[in-house]
Amino acid sequence: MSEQQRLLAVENLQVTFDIMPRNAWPWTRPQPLKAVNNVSFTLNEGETLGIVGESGCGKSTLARAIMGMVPSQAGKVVWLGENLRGLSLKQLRKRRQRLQMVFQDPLASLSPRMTVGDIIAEPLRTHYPDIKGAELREKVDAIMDRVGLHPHQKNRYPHEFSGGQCQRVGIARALILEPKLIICDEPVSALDVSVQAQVINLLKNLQRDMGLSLIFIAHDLSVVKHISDRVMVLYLGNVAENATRAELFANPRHPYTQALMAAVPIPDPERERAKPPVELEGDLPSPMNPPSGCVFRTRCPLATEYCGKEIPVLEDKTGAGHWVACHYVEREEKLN
Amino acid sequence: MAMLEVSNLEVAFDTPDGALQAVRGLSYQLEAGRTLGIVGESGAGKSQGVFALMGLLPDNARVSGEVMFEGESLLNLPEKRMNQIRAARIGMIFQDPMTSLNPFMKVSDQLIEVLVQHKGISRKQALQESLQMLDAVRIPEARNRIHCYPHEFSGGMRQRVMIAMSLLCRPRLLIADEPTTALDVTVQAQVMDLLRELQQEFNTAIILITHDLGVVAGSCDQTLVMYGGQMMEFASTRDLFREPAHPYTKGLMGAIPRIDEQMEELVTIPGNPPNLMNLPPGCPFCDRCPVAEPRCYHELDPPERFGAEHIRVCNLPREAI
Repeated sequence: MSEQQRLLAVENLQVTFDIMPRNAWPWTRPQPLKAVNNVSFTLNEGETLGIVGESGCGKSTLARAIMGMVPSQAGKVVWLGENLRGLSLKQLRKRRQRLQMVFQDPLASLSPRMTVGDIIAEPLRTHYPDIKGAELREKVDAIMDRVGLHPHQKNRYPHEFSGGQCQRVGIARALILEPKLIICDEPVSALDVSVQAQVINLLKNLQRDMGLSLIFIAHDLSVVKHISDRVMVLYLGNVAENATRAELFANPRHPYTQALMAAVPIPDPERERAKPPVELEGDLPSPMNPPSGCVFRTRCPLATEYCGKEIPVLEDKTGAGHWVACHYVEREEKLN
Repeated sequence: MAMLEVSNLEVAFDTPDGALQAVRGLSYQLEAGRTLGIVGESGAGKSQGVFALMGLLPDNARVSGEVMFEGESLLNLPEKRMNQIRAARIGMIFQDPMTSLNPFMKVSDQLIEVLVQHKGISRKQALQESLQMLDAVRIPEARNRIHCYPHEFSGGMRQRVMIAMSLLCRPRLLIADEPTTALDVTVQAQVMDLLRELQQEFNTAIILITHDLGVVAGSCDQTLVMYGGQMMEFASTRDLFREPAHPYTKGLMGAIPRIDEQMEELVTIPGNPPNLMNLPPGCPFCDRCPVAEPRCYHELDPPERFGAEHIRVCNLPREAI
């Protein structure tokens, strides 16, 4: 894998939002909410990184911070050897030709007043104003055909399409600039099961044929398992675990990953009912006031007093590219 | 006799563009204390089918057929009588707990209201019972939190409040319309565990509407698969998963990415869920069916019964799918 080109390297990225506390006076200082905290990962060309976690864990914020759609406070986003943080909007826009995004709500992410053809053509018009007329039409038709839409539908408006078709429009819009990386933020969560499978297969095929890299954000581990090469598990803005797909699903190390996996319902009555009851109690703690030490300790079945004192470091103990941030895993390894 | 008997239920809506047939000829039965899962994609008529039982459809809906609940016909009941049945004997949980709770009322007031209305007990007593119920659905520090407003709870906790509210009068039947769709998987697992426990404790029958076959596999005794407003297959959950006998059920099962198995390519069902405005006269699934024959486009055989209470609605023989 080492000869593959490094596309993206995120180093200690931090995104903080200033939030006014409830019942605050106008002169009260806003409090910081750490939405993304010290997140690092790398992505090679042609690779798919799945990012999973519960709602509020910072998945979408991370995606937006990589794109430069929300300001990040610290760290680096190295895209093809160049740090995107600190670039002007104009410079960023140029880089975004190769760095596109597909959003969760297929209908809300398309302008209701533009025809589907215009929506798909817009990135081309923005970045290549010289492409006009027949050439533009040809390109739009080709990409619509590629994502499974009929080119004769291009004069219709988004509301005339079903959710799955709208998502195809979103994918076509992202593809038309021939990007190297597409960040998909929960692209199938709003879709029906049968349509979800179509979109997942489409993304997989596009990736194979066009050599795309994907960052695939989902709350559903089974979807991520199906599409990813590597999987990163986030919890309250922190990376809990990051490993290759095979390794993560065969050998989840972090208690949070284990709990997440156990919670996924299995469509098989015998297996589903033989499962032990859920271990994970309660909800995600407030990110305004995260627990001291390990952020997961308030829900962790293995937490000890020590977990509240020391923040666990994300480490690749085995040297096999399996990164875990947990005191327990460390202790266990010392025992062995 | 079954506790709930639905026979030949039809729901149609009058719209400016013509009549929309949301549910066609739906029949099923549910015994006390059992769980029936209704599965299907959006537009399958899952929700409208149960809204009709509860009399919750808008004015432009036309309902026909028969619904017998504990010996009483539910359709065309006067509103006053229906109100006595709702909450007291049939409880309901909706998909989005934020929009189904009143944002201007404290949770305590919303719970007390139900009890005062249906059981005629004092507010003080009602508060006590509400507290017990919040404890039963395992809301931590119920005594303090009962006086909070819905927005002060997290999504999972709000859904627990909804469950508590629907169980206050110990209904015989609980209708849960996608109760966990808006929740995270970990919270979904907690809520489903809770529902199973409460069902055992109160011996409530449950109709669980969902699009998630995994949720069905874990909780339902029987499963009804709907498509385009019609029943496609009905069986005990074990039989349905072991030997699905309808092309749609098979397609649905192939389309789910599974965490317990490694799959190369997901089986897809081509096309999109049907437009109910102009369904073909035959099988609603014919456009997307991999084995459809020409006659599927204009006729559909009556339900075929086989095995132990396994029903399928398909023109093709079982071996052919």
